[in-house]
Amino acid sequence: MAGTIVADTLTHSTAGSIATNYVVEGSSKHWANITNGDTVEDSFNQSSIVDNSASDCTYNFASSMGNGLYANSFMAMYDLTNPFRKLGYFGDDPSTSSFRTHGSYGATASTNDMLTSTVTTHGDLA
Amino acid sequence: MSTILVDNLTGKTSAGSITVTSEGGAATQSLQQGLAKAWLHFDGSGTPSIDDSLNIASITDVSTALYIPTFSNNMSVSGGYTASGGGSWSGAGSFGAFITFEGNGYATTGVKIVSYVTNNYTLIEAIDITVDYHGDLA
Repeated sequence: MAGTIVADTLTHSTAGSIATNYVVEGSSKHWANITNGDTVEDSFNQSSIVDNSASDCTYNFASSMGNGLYANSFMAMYDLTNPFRKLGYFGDDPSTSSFRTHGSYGATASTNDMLTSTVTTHGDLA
Repeated sequence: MSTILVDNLTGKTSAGSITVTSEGGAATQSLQQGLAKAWLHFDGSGTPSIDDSLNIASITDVSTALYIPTFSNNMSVSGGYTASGGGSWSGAGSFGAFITFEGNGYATTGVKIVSYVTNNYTLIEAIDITVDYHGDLA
C-alpha cells in the first residue's frame, strides 16, 4: 500500500529547507520535446498535439491548468541552413486546456516546422 | 505546521515515482517528472564561466557563441528532454540575445546551444546566459 505524507516543510540535513508549496507550485506542469513539427519524442502531462500547419502546433494538456495565466518557455532547433530559429505563441491566448506555438527562422521570420521544439509550462493545475 | 526532516525522497510503490496533489486539488502529478533536472547561469564571453548551476558539470566552449553544457547526471533519452533560456548582452544598447539549439548534437549528456543578438541576427557571446532543462534523468 502506498503511503501519504502531509507536510508543510521539507528539511534536508545540509541543504536547507523548502516549504512544500514551492515543490507543488514550483514544479513544471507540462513539458514536451517535438521533432519535425508533429513527432512527440517525450512529454509530461500532454494528451496530444495538433500540427495545424507548418510552424503552427497546438499542445493539449492531459490534466488542465487552473487558469490561462501560466508561464511557458520555448526553444527551437537552430540549424546551419536556416539559422536563427525562434518559437513563440501563435494567435489566441493560452487556455486551461492548451496553448499554441509558432516557429520562424531568419531575419524575415519565415515560417517552417522546427527540427526540434521544446516547450515547458509552469503554473497552477486545476 | 509540520516539518519533515529528510535527505532523500523515494517512492514506495515505484522508487522513481512520487505523486503530489495539484494546487486546485483536481489532479495529481508526478513529482519527479515535474522537477527541473538542471539549470544554468553562465557568462558566455571569452572562456565561458559558470555563475551558478544545478546538475551541470562543465561547459565546452565549441567556438564563438557556441557552447555545450554537460550534465553531472545524464538524461535518460537523447532528444527526449527540453531546454529553454535567454541571454543578455551589453554591446548593442537594449537588444538582448536569443538562446537556441545548434545543429543536431542532442545527447543524453547535453545539447549544443548558440546565442545570437536580436537586432541583427549575428552570433554573440552573451554575458548572461540562462538555461533550464526538463525531462527524465537516467
